[in-house]
Amino acid sequence: MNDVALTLDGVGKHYKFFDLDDVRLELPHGHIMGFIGPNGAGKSTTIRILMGLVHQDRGEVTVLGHRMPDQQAAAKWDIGFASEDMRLYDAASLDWHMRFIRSIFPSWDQPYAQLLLKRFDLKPEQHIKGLSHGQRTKAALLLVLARRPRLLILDEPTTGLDPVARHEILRELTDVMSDDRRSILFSSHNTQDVEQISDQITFIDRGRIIDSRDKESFMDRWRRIRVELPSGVQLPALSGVIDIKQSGRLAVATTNAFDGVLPRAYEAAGVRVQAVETMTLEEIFVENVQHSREGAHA
Amino acid sequence: MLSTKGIVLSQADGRPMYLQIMEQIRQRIAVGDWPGGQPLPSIRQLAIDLGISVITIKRAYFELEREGVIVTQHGKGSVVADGADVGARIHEQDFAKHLEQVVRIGALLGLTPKEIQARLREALERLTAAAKERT
Amino acid sequence: MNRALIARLILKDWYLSRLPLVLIGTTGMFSIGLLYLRREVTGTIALITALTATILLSILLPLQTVVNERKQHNLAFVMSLPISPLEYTAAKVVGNLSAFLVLWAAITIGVLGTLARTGVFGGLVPFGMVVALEPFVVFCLLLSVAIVVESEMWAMLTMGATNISYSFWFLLLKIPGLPQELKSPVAIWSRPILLMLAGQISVIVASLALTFYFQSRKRNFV
Repeated sequence: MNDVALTLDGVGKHYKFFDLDDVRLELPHGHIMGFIGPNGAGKSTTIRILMGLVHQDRGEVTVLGHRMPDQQAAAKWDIGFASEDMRLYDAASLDWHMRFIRSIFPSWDQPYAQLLLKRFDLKPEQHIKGLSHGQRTKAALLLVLARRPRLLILDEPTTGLDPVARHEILRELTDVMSDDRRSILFSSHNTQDVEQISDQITFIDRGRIIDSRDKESFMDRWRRIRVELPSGVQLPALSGVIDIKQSGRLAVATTNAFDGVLPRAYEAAGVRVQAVETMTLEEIFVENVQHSREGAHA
Repeated sequence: MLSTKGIVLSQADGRPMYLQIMEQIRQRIAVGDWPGGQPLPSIRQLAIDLGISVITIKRAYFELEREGVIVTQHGKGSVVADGADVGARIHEQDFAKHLEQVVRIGALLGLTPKEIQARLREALERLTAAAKERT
Repeated sequence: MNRALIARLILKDWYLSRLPLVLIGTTGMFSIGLLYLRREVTGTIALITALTATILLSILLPLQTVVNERKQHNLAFVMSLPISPLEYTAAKVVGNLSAFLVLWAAITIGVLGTLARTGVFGGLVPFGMVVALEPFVVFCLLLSVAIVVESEMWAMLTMGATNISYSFWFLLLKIPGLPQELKSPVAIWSRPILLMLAGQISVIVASLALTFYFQSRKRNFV
């Protein structure tokens, strides 16, 4: 099955204090998937399972047509992996790392590597030990980008980077899309980055996938509806509204199933709709997590 | 090849990205920088130029086609819609949208239709007078 | 098994450990040189230095190439390369073993060979072989624990426990007949010595085999 870059089907993994449960994911070729969720939700575990570094207890994992973890050696020729908790060798220089990777991967693009050195403002002779956190992140990404792999799996690629560095990384990531056979899966806390470059958004919390769909549909389902209640009018309970914040005669309703009907339903009930606002991914993120956690407790 | 250099999206702009892109493309067409019949940059290329997801550009092009501002030939990409009235149509759509907003906000304020009309006339008179003073 | 890639990994480990390996090698050669002075004081210093060098080697290699790699979070980088866990294990075992064997064999053969050729201290050679083999045993145990258990604490505990084994030589000297064999000008390979050597070699083989076995059963590699 080679029309998708990766699939996870019914994947489960048990740890003492954490369970990954029934994870289902699919990333078509030529797309970017943003993987978001709170800390400890299971993003890193899922990514490690994709890389074959952790063996799932249940379910099937296929990456670039290879079954994981059994065929991980074959798969990893075409996968570029960088993780926030991965380090390069302190005692060696960036140049040594570049030569090391170059000696292994025939797809290494030396002119592009030189260009990245300039763009990321890195000195190859410098030892990793002497680099700042941001420089180390950029160095690791350079090693992965210069190989031009078909699939990039990145765990927090922009965390801890200054705005300029983040901008450069995002630039390189979107540039990858000029080849429509290359794909990216990246996890990030930076919802702005995810909102900007992702074609698909997958939301995970407490080991379960809460939502996974294309970004435009995802963002389109969420709205804040600001209303004014004329005296004597009560706010009706409408389906699809997951949160209401009210003070006096003003209220804000949040919905995750917007289809255009809701404002008219309010007006039919005598409520005055002042505005229908879209939400940023960060606002959706917070609402989503709070809502799913309250639901679990209710 | 139409230049995308000037297309800059603002983070401070609260609207979704696809709407911002649509507006910037519409402006270029209305002003005449992107003339009728000209092929638009490919969806993928524009996405890379702007550093934005492909799907957002796809949506912007899709909505622009629905508005009749661009025409997509299956498999061949999109071109700016032909016809001298495309620019006018864009402005017409803008005008209609703003009129609707005036009516809606007027209703929120509790104005009657007659009062809204009166206020519209007042605004027209003010603007014509100001324009006369400048000349 | 991708041999070219495993070779690259081994070269990488040797490169990253180059400084201490060169120092130990130099110390070993120095101690062999000391033996040639044919004096009791320098001879004793030479033997102690040679032994210390091999003990250091047995500890340094697993610590540097396995324990440190995990501690400094380099393992994810290595496993992001196109290798399977089995190939990783093979690279670690073969790389460490070869580096250790080269230096250890050079020092051991150098020292024991010199002793044998003196025509006077030949009797020390069999016991010397048991002594020399001990760092090799410790090395294999340490390497196994480092690879399989992945914990710095357990590596340290293993080091501490195996250190005790060096003290057992005093007990060995109580074996009847052994002290006389040591004084002989020619090497005497008696049963107790051969049994000891067989025991040590079994431990070496077992620990290496068990390493591969336990690694193959691991489900959380990083």
